[in-house]
Amino acid sequence: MELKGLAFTTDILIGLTLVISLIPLFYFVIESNYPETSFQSLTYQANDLIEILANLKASSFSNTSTISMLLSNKIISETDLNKTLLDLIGTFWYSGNKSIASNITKEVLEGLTEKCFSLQTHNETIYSSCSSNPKTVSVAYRLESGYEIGKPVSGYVARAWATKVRKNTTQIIIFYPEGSGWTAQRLEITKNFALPTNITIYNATLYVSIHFGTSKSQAQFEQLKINDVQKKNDIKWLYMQEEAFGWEITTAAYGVVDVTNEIQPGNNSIYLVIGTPNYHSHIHPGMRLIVTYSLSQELSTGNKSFKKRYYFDNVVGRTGAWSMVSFYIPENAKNAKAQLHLKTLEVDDTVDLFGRNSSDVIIYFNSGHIFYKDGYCSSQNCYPSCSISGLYYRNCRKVGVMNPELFLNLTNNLTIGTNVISVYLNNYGDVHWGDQKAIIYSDPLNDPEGSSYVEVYYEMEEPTFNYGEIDITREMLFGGSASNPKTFNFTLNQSQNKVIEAFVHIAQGFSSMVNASINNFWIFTSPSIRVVPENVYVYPNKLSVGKNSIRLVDFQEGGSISGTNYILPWSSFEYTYLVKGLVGYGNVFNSSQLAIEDAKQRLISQMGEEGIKPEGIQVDSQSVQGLRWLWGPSLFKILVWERE
Amino acid sequence: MALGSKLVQNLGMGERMKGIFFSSMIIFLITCLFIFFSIQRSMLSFYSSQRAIENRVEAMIKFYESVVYDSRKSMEITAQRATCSAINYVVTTGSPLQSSNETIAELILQGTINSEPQGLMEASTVKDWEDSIEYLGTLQGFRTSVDIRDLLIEPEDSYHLSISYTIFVELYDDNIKTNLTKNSREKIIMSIENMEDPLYPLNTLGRIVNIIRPSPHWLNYSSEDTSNLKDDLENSYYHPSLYGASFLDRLEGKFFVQEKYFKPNPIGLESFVNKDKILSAGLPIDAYATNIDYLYFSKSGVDAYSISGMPSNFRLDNETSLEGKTHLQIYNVTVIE
Repeated sequence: MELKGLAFTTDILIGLTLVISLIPLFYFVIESNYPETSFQSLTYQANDLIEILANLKASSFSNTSTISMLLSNKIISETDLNKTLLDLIGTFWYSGNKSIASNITKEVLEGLTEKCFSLQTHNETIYSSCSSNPKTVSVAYRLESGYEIGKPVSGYVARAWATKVRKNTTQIIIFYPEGSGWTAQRLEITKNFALPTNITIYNATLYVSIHFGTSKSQAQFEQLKINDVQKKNDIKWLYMQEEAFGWEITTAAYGVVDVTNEIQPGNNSIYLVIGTPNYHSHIHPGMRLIVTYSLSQELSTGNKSFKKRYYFDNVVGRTGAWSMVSFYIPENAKNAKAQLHLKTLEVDDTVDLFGRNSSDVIIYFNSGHIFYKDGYCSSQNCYPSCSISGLYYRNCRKVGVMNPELFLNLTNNLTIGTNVISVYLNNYGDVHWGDQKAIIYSDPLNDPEGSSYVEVYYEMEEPTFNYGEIDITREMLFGGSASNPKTFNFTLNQSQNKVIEAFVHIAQGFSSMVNASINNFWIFTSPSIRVVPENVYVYPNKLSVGKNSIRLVDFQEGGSISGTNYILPWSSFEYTYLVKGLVGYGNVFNSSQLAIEDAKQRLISQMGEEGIKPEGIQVDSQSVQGLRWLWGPSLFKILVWERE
Repeated sequence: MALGSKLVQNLGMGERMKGIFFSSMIIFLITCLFIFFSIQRSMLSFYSSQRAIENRVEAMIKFYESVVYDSRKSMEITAQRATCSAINYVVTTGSPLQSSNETIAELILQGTINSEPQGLMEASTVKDWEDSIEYLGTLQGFRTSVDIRDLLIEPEDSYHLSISYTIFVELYDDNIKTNLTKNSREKIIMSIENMEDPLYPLNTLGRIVNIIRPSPHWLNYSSEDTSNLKDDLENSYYHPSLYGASFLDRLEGKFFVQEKYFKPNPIGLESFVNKDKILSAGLPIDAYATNIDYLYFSKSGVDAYSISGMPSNFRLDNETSLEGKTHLQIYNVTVIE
């Protein structure tokens, strides 16, 4: 019995020990495993819900009342149904339509879980299904780019372009240095030219640069007719330089006349008659007509191949006639070609003392060496060996009158930059011969093919301007005082950074040879004495935004700087630059209308900087919708917890 | 009495034995309890620490997944803006791109075209997104490095581009000394609908704009009733095409699908050039040329036929379009003899 009791007692004690020892284990299991299982369940639900929002398309829930209402009210389109639910909710939430975002969340998620949940972003609750405070909450999150508080999710961009622009521009019509033989009589020059027909002329100023008799008794300034209107008495002489070598008294004169009322759109004609009894009548460098007008221009693309004709002026000299035409080949030009068509009239055909056919037609091209002659030359200057009358007249025997017409290929002697071709009929330098007039014929308006011209052809790898760009030409006068050398400093602003063509117009009284440079880069030197062209081509790539300078120097054949051959302040720098007539996509706006208005304003502002008025711009525009911003990323959180 | 004495005697000895026994048992029980509580405590501690690490690793994985997910979303936004920028460049300069897929890739990654920054890509490049993610990763307690590389842009079909890329993500948690380095190849499909077709402005001095909108009448044409065809002409809606330049080709100013973009499925596009619209923009037209855009602009000179029920300057050619059918067949038209 005693042993039994002991055994039972021991057994009970062991049993109790086991029970006592298991209590903490149960406690452990109950206290830790149950919340873990619950939390895991919440986590699964949270992850599932965020996956559903992030991956399922809105189209899967198009039957829910809010989405179908949005569709029927055309607030969203069928395309929007391709967005994920999270994207759709985010789009509405961040665009300020919070109740719509909240309703979609509610309708989609409440049918999927019975637990409490809350969708949040940026510490704001989009929707919460319960108001209770959770003890244990599981969170799942998703990053979503494209949202930021106060910023539009997507919007419209627009671009605009001018289809037609009314621009103010300048056209310079130059008179080439040209004239008659030494101590020649009446010189007649006719320049026929055409301006665009669809222009409104604001100003036309003619600068007259001539060499004629004295400014006093011997002056022979007979005619200056602009479209048959006599203007010779209206010239305001700006500069006169009279020189006398014994009985040879002569004057270089530079003047200006306003011809705004006489110059007209379309065809025009300027007729000039001057003379000098004892010197040399001719036009000096710097004679040019500057027309400022308003032109309607449709936007188009520049060409890659160019064919230009530089027409001579019609020059009637007694005796002898000459003209010096300058033209240019731009840098980067390929396959450049040029030919001269020279049509002359009433050239005296002469022979020298030895019966040799004199060279009555002499042509120089980019060189001091004769390029073409039609007869015998005994010396480099090709003065015929005839008896001398006075200082400068050669009394050659006239054997007839001829009207030579020449086609000369200039291609092999072309140079990049400024080219100068000089044509002499019955004269060269200080000497002239023949007994009647000689004519360099040109009437480009009525007889373009029969007139004298240089035709230039070249190709460029890229068009000088693309569509959407318009060219504007401006001129800056040197100003200051007459001097030699003369330096002109000027500034190009940022909007003028795309200069496609530029020239220096040289205005001089007396001249010998000239050297021109831009920003210390050489651009032209006269190839021989008296070859001073009216204009010199400036390489656009030598120009820069900001400060620039042009330096002109007149020098003698031996190289010394000419003492009295001044560069006049009416020399000028002509430049043509491009202005963009279109603007690309700008900021993103909430409506197409706002985007388009912005584009138009940007275009008007851009073109207005170049003096093009808004009313002169016809604008077309195009908008693109639905362009999204890369805001964020934002954090979308879904919280899930047990209902109480 | 004797019995009682013995009992008392025996009981005294038994009591002593019991006392020792019970004392031993109590000590044993206390020891057991102590051991159990110790085990429980260490198990709890181990479990908690393991759970903490697991939670952080799980958070890392979730963050990685979220980054990869958002890379697709951000790539959609960036690619759309890049494509818009590419179009903008072409239509504002009038110069086609040399290699449109490479240019779009440059725009997506760097926001530039030929190293020139493009306004629409401001704060919208992959680099900007990577920086944001790395910052967000820091907020989550991870040292984060994200890199998107090997961008490949190609036509998916006529109206979509496919953009695939490799995303490299490296996350490092300093607290638990855990590193997650992972990469994956991702692909998104981007629609080109509602974008400008660069071929039109390039071939009309920038004066004609056409938006890429698929025809709602595709393959629903009748020779008896040409209203659908007229609607396609009026709006210059787009149709899939076997040979007509794809969107990427069009950015390069090309008229036909190039070998480099070729795919077995049709990726090309074609629309009817609206000759009246070109005329009203002040440009000359070829009234006798086919209205199929890529053949019209390329001045292909293919034979083109007047179509019954269509405007007098509308012409269609008999070149192959799709599924072995010619344009005359696929648009189901009757030629005016």
